[in-house]
Amino acid sequence: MLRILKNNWNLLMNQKNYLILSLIMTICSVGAAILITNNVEIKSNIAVVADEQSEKNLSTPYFHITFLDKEPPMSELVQNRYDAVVIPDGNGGFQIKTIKSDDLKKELQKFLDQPSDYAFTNNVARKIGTNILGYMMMFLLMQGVLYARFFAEDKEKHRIERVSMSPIPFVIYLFGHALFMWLLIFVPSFMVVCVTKLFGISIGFSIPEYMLLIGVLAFLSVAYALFINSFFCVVDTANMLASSIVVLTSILAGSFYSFSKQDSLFNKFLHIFPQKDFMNFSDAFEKGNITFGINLQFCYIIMISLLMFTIAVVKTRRSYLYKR
Amino acid sequence: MRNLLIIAREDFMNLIKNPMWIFYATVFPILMVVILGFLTKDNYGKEIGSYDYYGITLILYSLLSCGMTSANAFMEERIKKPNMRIIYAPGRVSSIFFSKIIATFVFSSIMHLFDMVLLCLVFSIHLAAIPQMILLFSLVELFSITLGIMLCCIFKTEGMTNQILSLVVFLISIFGGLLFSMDGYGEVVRKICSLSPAKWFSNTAFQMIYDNNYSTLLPTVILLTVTIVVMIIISLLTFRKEDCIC
Repeated sequence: MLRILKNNWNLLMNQKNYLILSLIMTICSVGAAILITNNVEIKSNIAVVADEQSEKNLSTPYFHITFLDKEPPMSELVQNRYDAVVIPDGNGGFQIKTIKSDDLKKELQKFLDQPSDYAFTNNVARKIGTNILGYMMMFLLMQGVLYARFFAEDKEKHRIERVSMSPIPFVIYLFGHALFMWLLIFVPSFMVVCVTKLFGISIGFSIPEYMLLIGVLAFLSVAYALFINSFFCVVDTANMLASSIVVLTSILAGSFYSFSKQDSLFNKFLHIFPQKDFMNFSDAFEKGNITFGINLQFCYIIMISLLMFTIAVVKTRRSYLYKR
Repeated sequence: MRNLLIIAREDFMNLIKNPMWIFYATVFPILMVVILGFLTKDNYGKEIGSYDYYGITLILYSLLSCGMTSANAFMEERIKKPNMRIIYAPGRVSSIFFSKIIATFVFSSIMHLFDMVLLCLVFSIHLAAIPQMILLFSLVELFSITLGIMLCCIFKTEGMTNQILSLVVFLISIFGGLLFSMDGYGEVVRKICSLSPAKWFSNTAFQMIYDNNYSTLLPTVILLTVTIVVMIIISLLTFRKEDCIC
């Protein structure tokens, strides 16, 4: 196993610019995740087509209100710049223009009728640590797919057939690859988090908690990448399929924000994606309400990673070990 | 010129015979639009729906990720030997990558046009200024394809190109609000997002569709053309035929 690590390390050292590039990529993506989440303001943006002086009573902590001289163009509404446009009709009433759902319109109407005693409860908002992890998740999963290149190239260039003749069992062989990839994913991203913490930027979790969460995420990423790659012999096919699956399932699992309503059947169905369970776990972990069910979800992530790794081993063994 | 077309035709056949690329160019964007549109359907009202937003942005996303297809078509393990034969053949060596650009462009344009037509028919996505849209989208497509080829010429390996491209495309798509809209997230985020080229493209597209506003089309088109020309020049300078020997 050490030999595989060493071999991979030598391969990597042969392509130093590749290593540097990957490190820069990881740093950039984790940095971007932290940068974005630290600046996100989740409030509805309302444009009021009026003079600021004449509508003084419209100040509120619940909406972000912008006063404009004329109506914003439709494309800004479509691109979500403003959720709604409010046009005062001159005698105390308002005309609301929005492309969003009726719920928002009703909520806004309530606010415009009684600006002073309007209250709005938003309990679904996630905390900052979970958001950072959500953004990082997709990058880390994609990195796993990219680093699986070392394994995939072994297959594509038929090095693996020599391995099958050697005394190393496939479990150890794949475990060596997995460990190598895990280190490549875990170390840089964890370093970035540590550095950010040192600079005193709020990142939600503490350092050991991040160590656990990123560790699990990197493990999932590695297992998934090896799992997909064990079925294909061509690097690009595996690469493209795996990264499209990552993008799709991560969005579905709500790594950026939760799309689906709670308690719907669809939402329950989404729990088969480990990303969803991971988000749930880190959310509960950050808010401090870990229950038995949440722990179960955490176990599910580890179980499914182990399962994928096992399938990868079994599949590789079956394709390369000749029986009789 | 004739050589170039012959090679391009072979490259095109090579692309169209691979089920993975057909999946990536057709099924994947449609699946993304359907899933994201379905999930965010409730947030929108009756006039303009989620499909109207995601139909445009996710097609832009798949246009931007075309670079990976061109990088594959250029330096895939299978294609290295044919490339080596071309450098021994009479004719210009630069036709190796020009043919890849042409073939990938034709292939992806057909696939994405098919996607767009299908999506418009099924979800009746709001569209306007169709000639201008086609111009914009094909330039974006050519941009990402040339980017893939240029990175291949610089780095000489496909793996690295793919790694850079997938992350860069992903980053600018996220910041450009292609996977979900970032515009509503406050002033700072909006400033960061306006740096992303993906944001300029989608902004131009939406302004043309919804405001009949063509003022940003010309700068975008000029910018894209200049970038494409610069990237082709860089490819010409960095491409060495020795790289194709395997």
